[in-house]
Amino acid sequence: MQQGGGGSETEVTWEDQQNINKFGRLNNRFHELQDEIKIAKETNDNLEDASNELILTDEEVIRFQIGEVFAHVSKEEVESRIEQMNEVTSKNLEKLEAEKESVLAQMAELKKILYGKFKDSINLEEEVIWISCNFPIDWFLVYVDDMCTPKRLLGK
Amino acid sequence: MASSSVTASASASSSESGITERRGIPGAQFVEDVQTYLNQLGLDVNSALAVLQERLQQYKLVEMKLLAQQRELQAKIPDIEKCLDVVAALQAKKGTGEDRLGNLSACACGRLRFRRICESKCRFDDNNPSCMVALVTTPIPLLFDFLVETKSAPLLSLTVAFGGEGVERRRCQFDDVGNGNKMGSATSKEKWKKVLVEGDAPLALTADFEVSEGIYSRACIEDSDSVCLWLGANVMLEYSCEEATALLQKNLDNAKASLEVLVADLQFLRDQVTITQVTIARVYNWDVHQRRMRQAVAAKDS
Repeated sequence: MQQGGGGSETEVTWEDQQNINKFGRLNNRFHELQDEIKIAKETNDNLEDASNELILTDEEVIRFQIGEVFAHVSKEEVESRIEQMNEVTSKNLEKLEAEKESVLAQMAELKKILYGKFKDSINLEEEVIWISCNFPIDWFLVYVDDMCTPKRLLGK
Repeated sequence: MASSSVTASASASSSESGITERRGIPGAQFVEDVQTYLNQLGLDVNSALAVLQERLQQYKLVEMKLLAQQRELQAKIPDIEKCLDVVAALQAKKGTGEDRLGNLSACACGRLRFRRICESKCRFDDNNPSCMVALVTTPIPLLFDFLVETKSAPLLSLTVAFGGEGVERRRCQFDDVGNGNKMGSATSKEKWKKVLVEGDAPLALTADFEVSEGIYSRACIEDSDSVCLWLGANVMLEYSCEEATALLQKNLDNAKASLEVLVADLQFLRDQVTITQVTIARVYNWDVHQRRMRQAVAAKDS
């Protein structure tokens, strides 16, 4: 007797495939954004430390890094340069955060759609995205994520 | 009973959706229906799976290559930006122009000597031998000590003028040099006078650059109109500042454009990988489903 188990196999349409693709892409972008945001925050902190040091120092000439060399620059100019760099990195950080929010929102939408159609046959959580066939004993899980190659957990 | 949804939709033909290829990367064929797909290929399940796996490996190879290219570009772009910064800084320095700090002239002939707290070059003005011109290389404000000594005629007045061509000249007059006018004797009367001189920005760019790890050396970069750019392959060319900026900007734009194209390629590739993986899963699932059905049928018969 055939074990119905999870019921009949749900067909994957082209639209579903496109949604899965889009979700994968958004997931990657999300991770990239997280890294970029981390770097931007670090740069921001460094600039803040630098401006604090500037206030404390009593030297008139500061060695300011331009490219690979340290040029001798007057204190005022260094102050204005740091302010400028601060503005640029803050704006960048804002932009990245906004993009991250939008990516998360889109991913939530897609999750709703895909979970709605596939219910338990698909998993869209962190790191691993898989789509499985819900046959009780013979499970075949495929990791649909560019980190993992397809794995067969259990044989036929 | 549990009619296979696969056989039910056997009539549906698998359609090829999506782009067939992009810049040399073959597109993965999307499979609407596994049965028809297998019939189309004329292969059994195992060989179909093998073919799909091979495709996947090829995609992985291409992905590694593209990722390496992406890393390269991502390292190159900050380098070009740094070069642009340096050239811009040199141009900015040039813009402020040469600043002659002081033309010290004396009304009487005599020798004027002045000492600065900071380093500078100084020479006598060719046109006017009693004038000394100093080029300052440090930021302002600075303190100027000058020693006035005259051998013959008394020093009547002292004019310190600073500012060069195109820069506003400021003068300060010292009518009373030293205490009283006890000048003119054979030996000099040294009178130091402290003057706060306000001039404009320094001319040459002083920079500390790395000679080796942990060792830095100071360089005084004079104003010049040209910079040398390293083009690679042991070639270095001299460019004017504007040309250099234009070239670097063009390189930067090209690099950024290539990076964009590369990122789009990678996305396309990932999509194809996803499609292939899902296809493998579905083919395998279908196979398992078929076996179960056959088992069920066999069990019923016996």
